[in-house]
Amino acid sequence: MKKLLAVSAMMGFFSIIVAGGPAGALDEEPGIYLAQQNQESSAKDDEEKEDDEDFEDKVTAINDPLYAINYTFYNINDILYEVVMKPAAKTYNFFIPVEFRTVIKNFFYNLRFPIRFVNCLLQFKGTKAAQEVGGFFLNTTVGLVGLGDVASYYDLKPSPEDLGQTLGFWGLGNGFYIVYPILGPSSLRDSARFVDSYFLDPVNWLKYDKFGGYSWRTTVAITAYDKFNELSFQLEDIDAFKKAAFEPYIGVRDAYVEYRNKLVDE
Amino acid sequence: MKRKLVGLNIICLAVLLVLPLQVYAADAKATVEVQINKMLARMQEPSFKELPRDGKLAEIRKIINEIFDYQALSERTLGRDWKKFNPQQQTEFVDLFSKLLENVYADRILAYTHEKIEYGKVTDLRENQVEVESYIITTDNKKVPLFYRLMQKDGTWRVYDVVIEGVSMIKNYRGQFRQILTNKAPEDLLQTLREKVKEKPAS
Repeated sequence: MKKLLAVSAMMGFFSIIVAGGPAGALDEEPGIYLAQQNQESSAKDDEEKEDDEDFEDKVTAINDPLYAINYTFYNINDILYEVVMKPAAKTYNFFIPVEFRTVIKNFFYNLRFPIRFVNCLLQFKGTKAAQEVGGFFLNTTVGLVGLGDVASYYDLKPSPEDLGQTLGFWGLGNGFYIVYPILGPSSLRDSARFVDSYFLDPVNWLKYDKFGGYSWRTTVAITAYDKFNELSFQLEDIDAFKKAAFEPYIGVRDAYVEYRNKLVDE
Repeated sequence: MKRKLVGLNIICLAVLLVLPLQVYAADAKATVEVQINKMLARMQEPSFKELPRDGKLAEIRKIINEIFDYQALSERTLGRDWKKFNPQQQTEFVDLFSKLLENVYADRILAYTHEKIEYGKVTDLRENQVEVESYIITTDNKKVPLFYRLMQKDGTWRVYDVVIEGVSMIKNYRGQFRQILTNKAPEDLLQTLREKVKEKPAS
């Protein structure tokens, strides 16, 4: 049993990585330029210029002093994806209809409302905070404890906020790029997501004894399943990205940073 | 009389100066919309649905090619490395890179049948370059931002970059190609491209 939980935990964590990674670049987590936020706009102008006349550019948007380690973990994660996660997810998709998987996805998204809400407040984003509250209320009631996603239809699903973005909002740069084993792409600053999960993720609250003696394994197993379920939607995106890429490590890294920058801007 | 004419001329001039700005933004958006709608409409037709997979891909590729400027796209992807290629290599690069992108995107487009597309605003990037916002509404009602960057050449608008969820395609490839070209010659990159283009698209 212990072993099973450990395996499912690993699967879950891996999918986070992958989510943050290839397709995730398109789908999940964010990152930031080393440059200060307030330099963003001028940086963007420069970028446009490079696209153009002078053909020059700032080569990478993020420092990567841990390249050797990151690259190794990237490859290990990739093998894990190909050998374990992808076949598992394909089997899962074969048996579990997309409607059910969507319901699971909705449920967990709704459940993690505290992370998004608190981080809206930390950035004084009143409108977004209100949208989050409205969406959470609507999906919890009309949407039946979050299984349905009614909020989307009423434009009550703003882009998700997290602590990494909050820090970025207040001017903190990425620091440097990190590829976590199983968890995947992140940065020094975006590692703040662990703080989010620890304090604000309801799934994580389960492990406190006062909630009935659950152990951390329950939390890990549930999180793992959630992430695995999320991965089940992304196989095609991940594979398309890998197929189209020449240097997937670089592609994922740059995409991660660009995507995170966009989220911080929003 | 003459005074009146001068006045008229000034008005005409003013109108002419203001007009193009309005017109070109609308045209870029129209170019994208018309082409995308054409593709979606074609994909709905029974005669299209009966085609074998290869036939479908070929048709989609043809429609994509009508709005993409692969020359501009390739130059911008390589950035300053473009000059490291001799004219012959440049031509081959454009040819191979366009084939690769066609394959990848035609494949993806074929997979995206049930989604809806919404169009957003048009932003001027600089003279003769604009960004047209579009959103793919997925079946689970998620909005995926897909922005097209277009430039005007000889009066027509052509796409030179696609930005998905904030990630610019040409910038992403530029980083990858730069990595390859730090240790290798343009010829090696071309060889890698040749092999990649030959690979069978995943089913």
